Amino acid sequence: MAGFLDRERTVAGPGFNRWMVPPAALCIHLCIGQVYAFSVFNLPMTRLIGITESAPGDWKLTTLGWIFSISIVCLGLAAAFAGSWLERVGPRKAMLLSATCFGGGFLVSALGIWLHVIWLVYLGYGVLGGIGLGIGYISPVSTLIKWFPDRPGMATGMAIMGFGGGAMIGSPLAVGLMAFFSGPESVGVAPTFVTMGLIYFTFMTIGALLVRLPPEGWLPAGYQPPAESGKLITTAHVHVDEALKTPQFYLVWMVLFLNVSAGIGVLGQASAMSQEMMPGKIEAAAAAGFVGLLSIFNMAGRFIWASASDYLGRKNTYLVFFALGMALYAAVPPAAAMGSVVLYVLCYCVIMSMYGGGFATVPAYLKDLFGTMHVGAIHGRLLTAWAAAGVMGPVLINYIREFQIEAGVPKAQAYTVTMYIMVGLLFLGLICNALIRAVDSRHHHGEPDTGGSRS
Amino acid sequence: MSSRKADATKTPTWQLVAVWTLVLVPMGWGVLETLAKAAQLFS
Repeated sequence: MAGFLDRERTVAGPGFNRWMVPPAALCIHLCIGQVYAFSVFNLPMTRLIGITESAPGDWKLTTLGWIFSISIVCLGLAAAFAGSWLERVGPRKAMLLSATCFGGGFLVSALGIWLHVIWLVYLGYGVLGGIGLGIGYISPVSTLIKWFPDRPGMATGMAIMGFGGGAMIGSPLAVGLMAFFSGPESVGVAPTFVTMGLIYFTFMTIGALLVRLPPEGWLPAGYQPPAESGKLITTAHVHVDEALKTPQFYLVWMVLFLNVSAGIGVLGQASAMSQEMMPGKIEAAAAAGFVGLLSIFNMAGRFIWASASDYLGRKNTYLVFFALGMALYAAVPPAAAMGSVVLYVLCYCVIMSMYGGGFATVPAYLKDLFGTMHVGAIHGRLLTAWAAAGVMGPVLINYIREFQIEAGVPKAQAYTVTMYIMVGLLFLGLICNALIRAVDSRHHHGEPDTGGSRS
Repeated sequence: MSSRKADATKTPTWQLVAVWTLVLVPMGWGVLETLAKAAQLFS
């Protein structure tokens, strides 16, 4: 069994169609993207004892909020520490470990819910699930880059689009299962966790079985790699430890951190924010629709922007994200003041598409700067920017809003300062992106990607 | 070019269709569910 999972056994035979690999990646990302829909469990989990309403002894929302936070922290840590291991053992073993952790995390949490022991839920979905998330997120990325050297942005965009789409599947699936399993004596959360754990484990395992690595030196038919490094695109490779010594790594870290910080706070507070900024124009049901629309643009942006980056270049794509993002954030307060729902929604939809696009384009940016050999490990280290932005973004939105309201600013205008701070963050990102240059050749090692067999 | 034609026959078309269907069907379902919710914004 161990042999079957080995990197050598994952190498594709002659004639393997590379279009079999993106669905393998999507099998993983469509499952782990469920983490963004975890909030659908929050209210039912506050009624595990009381069933119809919270009873003394039931868990509080603040207690449950830690489950998501722990899983995101473990995602960042697992991605950072498992990256080098993943490059060594290959994608199949890593994807199967991810499936076991993520699916197993649901099962351990189900036991915790059944016994009403919160630390088991923290350990299950938080720690185990988070590790599964982190390893699963980075597992297929470097494999896709190696299969699609001609279109690395499009290839990774497809997989990371799946992460955006995962919440769209996870949310209605969880709601439907809880409705099916609930009754007079249960809210149905524990059996829902068991069912979802088994479904996700099966689906992710299919992805692990489907995935293949290209043979050493393989290149797509008709593709001519550049003979020498271009302005930013290298044909050499940089080791992950060496990459951490370059200013480019930290500049890309800042680029991702600032792009994500500007979007993640909006995504988390979209419902309440839209109702408060557009009173009388956007009510609760419409706000739920607004959140749904943002999810669709977040998902579509991952594929569209990352694919566009293959033509525009990675640096130019981020230039668009920052410059257009600044203009759109600055346009939000006047759009709200005018009462224009269409303009308001349009601004946020484009902003969300660029938030998703930032995630999906960054692996190809790393491939351009550091080569393909250690891109999975470098990507893993870079995802600590996501964890940091996950703390910074919501804090900016929530605390500045509260400060404004306490200072007597009307609720409809409480977000205005935040929007201008977002413009400032994006301006910083614009500078960091502009400072990125090609990695100095003293950091390179290994043979350059200038040729090889074709199929 | 001839090698690409020969290679293409090694992975049967039904396998490609099957794996893409496997991922596109749940994704399409999720998008439709979300679009139905998003429609409330303009209703």
